[in-house]
Amino acid sequence: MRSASREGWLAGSGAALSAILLAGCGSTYTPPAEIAAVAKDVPAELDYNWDVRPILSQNCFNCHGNSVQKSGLRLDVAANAYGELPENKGKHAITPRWPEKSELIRRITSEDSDEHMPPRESHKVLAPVEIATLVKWVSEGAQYQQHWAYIPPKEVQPKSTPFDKHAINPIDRYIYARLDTEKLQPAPEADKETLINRVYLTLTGLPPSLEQVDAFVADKRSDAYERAVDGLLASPAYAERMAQTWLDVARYADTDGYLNDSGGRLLHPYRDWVIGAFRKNLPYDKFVTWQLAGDQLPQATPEQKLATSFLRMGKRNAEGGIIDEEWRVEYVNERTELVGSAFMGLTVACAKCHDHKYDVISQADYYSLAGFFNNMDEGGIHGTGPGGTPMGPTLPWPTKEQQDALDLAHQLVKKQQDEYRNTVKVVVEEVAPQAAALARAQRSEVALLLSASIDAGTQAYYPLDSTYIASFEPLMIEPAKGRFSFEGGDDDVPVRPPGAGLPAGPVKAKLPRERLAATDLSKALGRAIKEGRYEFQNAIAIRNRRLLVGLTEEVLAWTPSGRAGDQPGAVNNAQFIEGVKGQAVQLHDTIGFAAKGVGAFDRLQEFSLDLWLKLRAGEPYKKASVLYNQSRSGYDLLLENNRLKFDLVHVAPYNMLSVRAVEPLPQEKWTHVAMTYDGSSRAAGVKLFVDGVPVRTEVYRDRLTRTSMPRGGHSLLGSYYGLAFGTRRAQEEFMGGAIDEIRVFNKMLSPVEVRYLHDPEFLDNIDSVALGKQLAEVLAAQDARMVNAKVDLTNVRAVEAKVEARIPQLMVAGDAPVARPNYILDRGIYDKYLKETPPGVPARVFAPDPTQPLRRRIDLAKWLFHADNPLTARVFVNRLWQLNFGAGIVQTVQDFGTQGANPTHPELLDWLAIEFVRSGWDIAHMQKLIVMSATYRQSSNVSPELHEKDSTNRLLARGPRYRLPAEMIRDGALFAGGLLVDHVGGDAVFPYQPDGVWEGNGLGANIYPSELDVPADEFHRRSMYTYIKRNAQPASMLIFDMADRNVATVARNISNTPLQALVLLNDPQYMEAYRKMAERAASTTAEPKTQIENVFRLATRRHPSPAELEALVAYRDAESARLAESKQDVDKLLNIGVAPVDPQLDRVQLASLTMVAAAAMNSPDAYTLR
Amino acid sequence: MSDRTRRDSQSDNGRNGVSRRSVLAGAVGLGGLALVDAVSSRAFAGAGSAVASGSIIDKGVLKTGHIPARAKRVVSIQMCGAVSQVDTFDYKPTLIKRHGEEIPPSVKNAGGRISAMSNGQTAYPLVQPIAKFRQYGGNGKWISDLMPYTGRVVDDLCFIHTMTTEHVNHDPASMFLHTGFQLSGRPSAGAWVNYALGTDNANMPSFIVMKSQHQSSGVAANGGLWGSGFLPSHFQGVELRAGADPVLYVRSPDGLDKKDRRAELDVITRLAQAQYAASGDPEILSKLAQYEMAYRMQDSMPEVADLSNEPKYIMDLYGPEAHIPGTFARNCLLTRRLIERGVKFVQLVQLGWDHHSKITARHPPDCMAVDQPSAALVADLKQRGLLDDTLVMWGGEFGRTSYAQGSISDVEAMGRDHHGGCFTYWLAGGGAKAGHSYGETDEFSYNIARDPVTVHDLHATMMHLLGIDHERLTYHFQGRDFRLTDVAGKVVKGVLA
Repeated sequence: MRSASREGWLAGSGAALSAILLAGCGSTYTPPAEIAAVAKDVPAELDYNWDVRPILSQNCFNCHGNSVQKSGLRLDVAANAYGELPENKGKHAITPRWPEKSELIRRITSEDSDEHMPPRESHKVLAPVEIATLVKWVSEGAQYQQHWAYIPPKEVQPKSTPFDKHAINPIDRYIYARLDTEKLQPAPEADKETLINRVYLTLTGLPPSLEQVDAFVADKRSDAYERAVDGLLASPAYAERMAQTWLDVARYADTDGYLNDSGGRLLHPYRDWVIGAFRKNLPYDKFVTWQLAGDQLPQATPEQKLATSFLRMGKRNAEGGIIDEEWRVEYVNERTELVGSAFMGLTVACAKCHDHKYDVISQADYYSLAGFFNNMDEGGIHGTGPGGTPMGPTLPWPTKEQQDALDLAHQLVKKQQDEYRNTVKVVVEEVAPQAAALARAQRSEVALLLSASIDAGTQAYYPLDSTYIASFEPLMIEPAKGRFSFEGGDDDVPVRPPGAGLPAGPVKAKLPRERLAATDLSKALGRAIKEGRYEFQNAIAIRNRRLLVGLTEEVLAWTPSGRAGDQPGAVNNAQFIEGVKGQAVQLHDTIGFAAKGVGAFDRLQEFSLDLWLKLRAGEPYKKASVLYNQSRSGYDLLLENNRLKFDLVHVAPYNMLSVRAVEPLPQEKWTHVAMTYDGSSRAAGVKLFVDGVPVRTEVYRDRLTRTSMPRGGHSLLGSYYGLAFGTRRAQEEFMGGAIDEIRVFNKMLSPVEVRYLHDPEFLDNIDSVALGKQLAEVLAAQDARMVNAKVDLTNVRAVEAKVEARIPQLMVAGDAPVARPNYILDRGIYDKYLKETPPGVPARVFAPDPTQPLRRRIDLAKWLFHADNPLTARVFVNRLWQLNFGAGIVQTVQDFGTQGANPTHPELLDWLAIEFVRSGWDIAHMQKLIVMSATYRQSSNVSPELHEKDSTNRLLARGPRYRLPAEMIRDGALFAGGLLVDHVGGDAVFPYQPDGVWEGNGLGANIYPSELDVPADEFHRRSMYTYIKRNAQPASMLIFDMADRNVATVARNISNTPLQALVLLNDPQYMEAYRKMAERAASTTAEPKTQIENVFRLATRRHPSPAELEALVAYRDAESARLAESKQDVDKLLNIGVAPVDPQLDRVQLASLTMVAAAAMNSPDAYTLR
Repeated sequence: MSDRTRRDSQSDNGRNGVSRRSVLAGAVGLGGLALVDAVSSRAFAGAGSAVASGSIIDKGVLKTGHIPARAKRVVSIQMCGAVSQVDTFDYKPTLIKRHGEEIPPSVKNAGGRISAMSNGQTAYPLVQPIAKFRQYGGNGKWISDLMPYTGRVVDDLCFIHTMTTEHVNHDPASMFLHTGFQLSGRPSAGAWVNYALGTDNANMPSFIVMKSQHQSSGVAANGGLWGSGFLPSHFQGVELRAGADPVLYVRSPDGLDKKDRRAELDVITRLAQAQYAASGDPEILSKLAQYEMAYRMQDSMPEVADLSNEPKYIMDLYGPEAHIPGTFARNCLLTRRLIERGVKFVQLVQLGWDHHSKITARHPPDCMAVDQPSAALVADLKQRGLLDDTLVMWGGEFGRTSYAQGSISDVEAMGRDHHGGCFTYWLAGGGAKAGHSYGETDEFSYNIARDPVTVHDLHATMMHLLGIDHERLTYHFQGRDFRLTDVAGKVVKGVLA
């Protein structure tokens, strides 16, 4: 990087320009007179990055840069710029050392408006000094250079200056070097009162108390300041202050944003983690790595996973009707841009739709970077599951008690599982001889057994024949009358399926209320077979009955008859074709739905689905539901690329089971399919069958920890929750396919039953031994011991479910088990795929080892913290600099690219970056270095001459001075009034806010609690704990430029508006604080002048000047004279706010002192860091 | 200043056109204090890190427009939730003839994106307008009976029937309509105008927003719609609210009258002067200027909101709801008062309209709430000679489908879904062509037959009427020059008078 020494070249001698141009070359170029006239303003030593690139970048690269090359000219790469112009043979844009042979120079100096560059219509005009700069640059050889920010930091010793004796640490010497060049000198150290106030505010966001000020002023030890700094860096308030700035980067807010802007997600554990991280001074590399990829660390701790909430804090769209994939892609992009601005200081967003016009980020780079986030296991529509589980990856966040309860429940489940397994083993062994005997006996008896067993488990049967279809009545369980009920009322008599080849008459369905005695059911079964009737207890119903006994809300929700307004099922728009038995329904904009309650199963229940399918020819089904009850949560038997798939969902895609057959189903052929599920909430409990035989499956998701009851109703049918097929909103239909013979079972079918359903004839051809083994399973399933063991298992699972249901779920990062293909998107449109591109880093910024593929977020983190990454450390130390001085060394803290500002002190920036890495990314160390520097400690007063020369204090010939951020102004007032509650962390709070701010700003507009409902201390928590609604941010803080938290903010505006005056003058929050300041001052002394002095000190932490004191004394006198005449006004003034009034104090004096406090707090020194 | 400093600051100075002015007319009244040159701080604000002094009372970055202005002010009336164009202003007899018939697939398929709300429907039957149309004005413009008052001012209006947007969900579409971009974070149209043209009244903000109270749920309008995006924050719209405080925190605390407030400000001024003397920080003086502005707003804003001097015939003109604070009618009347006082940009936000179901019952009252007041505003501005140089713009973020959402057999339950393919906007005054209809939709009001107008075109046209070349009003941020019309937009010549 260049040296700081910059003497103007050719001082005072415009005429000498051509002489310089001629030096050392044969050029005889003479620039136009107006250009020659400003030659003295061109730097003596030109530096491409500093002097030339900004001119080219701003004026030329738009049309002749890396994405657009008009007339084939590209000016940002030397080889192209020097080369022959494609559309102007024999000519060159730049011929180094020969301006007269450079089209660039000819065009920018041309008088001919057709030739002149930049063209008129661009509205860009080169200043004469800019033209002179380019002329000189070309004359001197047109040397290009890599952009400074992509060159790794290098430690350069600053030049010595006469001020070096004042230097406290290296920071100062770099600052002095520039000051010396600019012929400025550093300011003296600020007085101790000012300094202690400044450093408290900078490091903790809170002012010092008067006692702390006095103690510091009195402390004559040479290291008094350092002691104070060390104390502050170790304080919780420091952690809060640092966290607050980080939460701007993390776009932390309490609601989702967008249309609905709902709240209710559990978010503050992340915020409190950030505070904790600064509290223990977690090194920056860990701090960032955990947030980007904590879940991918080996043996990741819950804390490391929690940190990844960072990636989930962005806005979330829950508007109905949005396209899921479009918004999923939006979240991916949001994170991509977040990482760009938060860590890399690059505005990558420009490259979303096209190659970055100015920077080295191409569109391919953008989507490579996006690839790190493209695999997040989430969707686009941000609904919540039942119980409020957020969509996407979550982390349970139990209290200690909840964790203990859960551990216990897990143990119980495990024990009961073992017991169940043992029971199965014992019973199967026991019934094996019987089963073997049965298998050897008449096959017709076996058939009777199987069909009886099948029928007994059938909840509903839909032949789907046109004769029955009128109102979809011919269910096996006739919905209006014989509704099947888990409640077991005597009236609930299931009717038998017509034409199912079974004896007429109802199946007995009276349910025992007690646990079954362990009787030998198979004997009863044998009797039933002989007598030609069933005495078959509906075992599943019994199990479910058992589950109803006082367990969970979750379980109670199973009761289908518990829902009001049950309706018969129907098939709309059915087209009948010849089916497997009788007719079948071919789908074409068809919706079929069963009577309410049919197929309403939760994850703890066994159930099975069985039907015949015929897939259309041609185009395979990408993702078409076949049979489902899903409405956000629920189950879905579907076809994905013609492969049979079963999803059981709490919240897709993260909290669900998903199992898919490996082979596709045949097309245009009736195929029997079945799904059986054992109630275990495990993918292993799902079996898929095709044509009676279990098929090979792959597990896509295996994490179901919450209820799978449908929520919200069918997307088209409204509050319908039961079994359905056909059209759904926003989902491909099983269009052109056909369905027949749907059966729904409230038990898990055994394989032999499925086989029987497929083809009863198989019994004729099966070997007795094999059959006997399979029948044993059927017989065993009827055994009361097994029934009871299953009931007991389900009971403890329900207990476990109940405990889990109460544990809050945090949104965190987590990748889908199978990587999504990652594409470059044409113009950024979510479904316009260009080339596939693997995840990767922008190699032209920094590529440590191009052969090493970086594919996961953890790789991205490693890349960021690679020792040679030129950006990460610079970007962060620059933000620390901004935090302390109000502006960065690179003023555009969000943009280190070629369009950003150049650093004012490049060597200092590099030294800080190197020191940061050297210290082990120690943030507190850097903070200490900065506030310890003589530069930071300078007085911030400014003379007119200095202001004229450097109005924005870029050169730091004085200390920092800027209006305080929103939170500090409010916290400072609360602190001054002795009101501030210093409790760290926890739920967001609702302090004073004018009525109606939330109205019309999405859902929950009216939930802002009334003042009466807010616990007293919640009015006075630090401002960072205030509930942030994205669509209506805390009103008074927004006026003071609080970040809107919609996107990452690395630098806030510091505006100056009349609304700010109105807040400080009128907001009850402040008026209350002013009164409490007055009370504090009045209760420590009775001396009026001292009271005023103390009030002023509480406001500014300094003693008033005589002029200030005089003004305030006069004001107090006038106010007390006025208020003595108006007791009403006194009462009104003192009545503002919830904090009680000290009854010991004189009310008129208190009221007038309150107004003194108001005046002091409204004076600029009170809300300015100085 | 050295060459390097110049180069450093040039990166964000000058480009935004704010670099060479001294302002602070508002510092008058602070006798003896020097006026402050706001050059440096304004330039600094471009990078988002320092102060923009006093600019709220300046003349904007464009001292004069790029071209002669036809309009000096804008009233932008936004029907968030989306008005049904087929039931109000875009008359299509074919829909009556073919009521109940399926919309031809060729028409539907040409119509671009369908909201996921109705894309699972089994049928898309056309639905006739829910009210009769009749002709109004010199040109016999067909207007629905839902908008009879609008019919009476139709000769002052310029309809654009061929507005089109690619966004079919409320949040992105509204954001697009207000800021030219579908995601929040860009400056709103009002903020751009404020930034460009400044203010004509030192006593009140030049960009004021009023959000009418409405029973509607679901569709929201948030601050992003009138935010300043990356422009300095004082360019954002100031919300004029119903109720006790027309502007947040504008009311003095109880126990403090105007005289007391003046006394308080005087002592604050004395303190600030002392602090300025000690520190030399000119920012202190611009703070004082804002305090004085705040003081004036404490009078001017309640004064605007106080309608006690409005005669009965004016109240009657706007309709009975003008008596109720927070209603659209009241806000239309307040708009006229703001326009009279020289406010540059007034944005009215009306919620409701989003009738996916029960449109026959729910659209008429929503129309009634806005019809008379909107027409009254046009008539009132006109009778005061203000319509000539005030541009009024009226419409939703998209249109609604000419086919039924839900089943047409259940007329009461039926609604209309979002439709971005075409929708209607009207303009009045400010150089818009009066008594004119621009563009034509197909016979189903589903696709555009000729002359489509995008949101960027609408913005470009608005800018043009204000004397601004939309391609030249830019702001440099994050490495590029941004503008309201992004990289698109052309002035719709056909709507210019």
